[in-house]
Amino acid sequence: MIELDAAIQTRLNALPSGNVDPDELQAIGRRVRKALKAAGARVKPLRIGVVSSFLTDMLADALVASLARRGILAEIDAAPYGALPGHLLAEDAPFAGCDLVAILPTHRDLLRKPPLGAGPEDARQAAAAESNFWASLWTKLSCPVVQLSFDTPAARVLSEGDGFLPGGALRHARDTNSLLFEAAPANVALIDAEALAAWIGPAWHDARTYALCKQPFANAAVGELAEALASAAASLLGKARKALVLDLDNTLWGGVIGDVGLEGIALGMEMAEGEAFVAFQTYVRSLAARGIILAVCSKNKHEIALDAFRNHSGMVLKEEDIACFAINFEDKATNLRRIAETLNIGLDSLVFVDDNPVERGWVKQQLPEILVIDLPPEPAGYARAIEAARPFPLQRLTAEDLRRGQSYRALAAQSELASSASDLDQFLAGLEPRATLEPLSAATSDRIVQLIRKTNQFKLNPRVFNLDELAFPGRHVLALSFADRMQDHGIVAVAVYEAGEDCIDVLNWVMSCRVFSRRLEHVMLSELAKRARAIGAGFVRAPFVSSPRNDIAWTFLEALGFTRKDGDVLEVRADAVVDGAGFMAIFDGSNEQ
Amino acid sequence: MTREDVRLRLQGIFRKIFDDESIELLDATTADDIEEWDSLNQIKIILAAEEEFGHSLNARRISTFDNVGDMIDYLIEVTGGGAA
Repeated sequence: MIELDAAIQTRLNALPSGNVDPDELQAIGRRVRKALKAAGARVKPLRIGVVSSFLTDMLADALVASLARRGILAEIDAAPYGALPGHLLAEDAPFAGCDLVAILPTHRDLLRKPPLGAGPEDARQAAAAESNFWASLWTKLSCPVVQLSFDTPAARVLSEGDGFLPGGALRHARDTNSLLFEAAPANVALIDAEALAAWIGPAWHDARTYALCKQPFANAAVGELAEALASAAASLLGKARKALVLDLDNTLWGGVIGDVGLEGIALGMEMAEGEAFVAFQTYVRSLAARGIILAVCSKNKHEIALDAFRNHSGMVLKEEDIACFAINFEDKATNLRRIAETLNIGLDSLVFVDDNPVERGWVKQQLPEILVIDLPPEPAGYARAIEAARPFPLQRLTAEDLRRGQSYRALAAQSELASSASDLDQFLAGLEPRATLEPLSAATSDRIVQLIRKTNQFKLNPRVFNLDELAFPGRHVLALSFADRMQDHGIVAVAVYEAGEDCIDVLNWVMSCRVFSRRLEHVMLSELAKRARAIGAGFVRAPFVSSPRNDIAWTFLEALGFTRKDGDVLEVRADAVVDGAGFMAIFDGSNEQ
Repeated sequence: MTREDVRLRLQGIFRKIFDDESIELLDATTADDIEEWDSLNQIKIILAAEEEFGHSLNARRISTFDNVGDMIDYLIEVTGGGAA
């Protein structure tokens, strides 16, 4: 962290994660600025240039504090009031020596709006000219730029048409903003002024403050604008956060799972509380999809908590969405340090979400680098509380963002077994997997019938079987149970087959999604191929009916070597089957060979 | 609302804006007594007072006042002495 005296640091740390009091932010900012002035050449803050067409004095104070709470010690180099765009045009090298410049116009600076009655082509050309002019200002600067896009005018002269009709001021602002974004190079971050104004509400347009001191928004808006600018600046300066670390009980679901059990937690669409947690999980999952790494830090029994991820129908987040689990009864600061080490990222990349104010307070105190989200008591407000902290600024979505979750999961998996595992086979072997061939018996038949009925993803076709149909003469049932050093999964895969003329004819084959990626499909196919060879048959064939839900099955089958013979029949040569699960211990508990 | 109530509420606004809990407002206090009391902070005081007392204030009139005593009299006048 930056060097600030303890009193300032204490006030910075005491700021809530979102919806900060603008007065407090400005007061802290002034203290930081004074401290910097007093320190003279001893400290080297970043220089942030600010150029605007409105008064930025109050904003500048708040901005210094918003940057400081993101670990950026900055001094402000403000152009004179109203110097936009003149200051950028007049000088050869404006803001020379600045590390970043904020360009802050308003809709009042849009000078190329087409007249009323203009056509769509006029509107396009006007927006292009407007955007070209403002984009050209960036070329005057050699440092990163945070550009506020054009806000929407308070008055909508064309009523509901103002945003849609050529000649509408709102439409011109929107068109210009879109083109400006398209034109922005990687070192320019745009703030979406329309979204920001909607977030802030009525305080964004304040005619009285504008009349008094040429600040077009009320003081209440200063904090949010400063936070938005600081968040974008942090991203450009390499200080964006990367990972969201989540508590479980009363954060991802309602209730304490260790007390109320899997069935007792509030999660699912049956009741309002459960629905709020589903909505929050959905939000978190969408963050993961855009590249935010997810981790879990919870005081719980590991197996009990993981059981919810694996077996609770209301869970939107799945085990594979989480890159790193720290579920134990150690203190959370220790676990957060471990998570950062495992993921090989800094503590200042972490965002911590926990419903318990005591845990939050402890983490804030122990690890001030971590952004701790102040959650409201109601789960329905959780997502907004994260949004309010603006922890994950983003300008461009890259292919790496979209792949990130995967690679961090792999990294975490490797690091968990860092001493012994060098590849995936070894990792899987380290789980000590055991597959057992189970007989069709009174003890297993209900589960076998149910598994075929309930499985949706790895399922070759819709055909199901009752007990009589399974026991039909000439029909064979191959059931596999699966266990590893963590848990016993029970029967998780079933194939029903008959002996054909030159093949084993698989009527249906299902596998529970709980054991996907454990290679159990290899065990099943190897067993089928072995049985084909035993009766002198050259092929394993199976009817495959694709549906939106069983896409994944085809992915597996193709990897196993199946090809489409004709129509919906798949086949693989029995002597071409490669055992991809040589690391697995296999037991034969059936009496059928 | 007594004159003392108004003085204390105004004092609270000053303490927050100037980030200084030691400020004591007297009738005779002027802009010269508080180092950072410039025109911008003057506006912040007006806006904060409007919020605090729930009445819009005349910025032009306030700019003619000699001291805090005048401001307190004015606040009592616009709030009718009994406002929230």
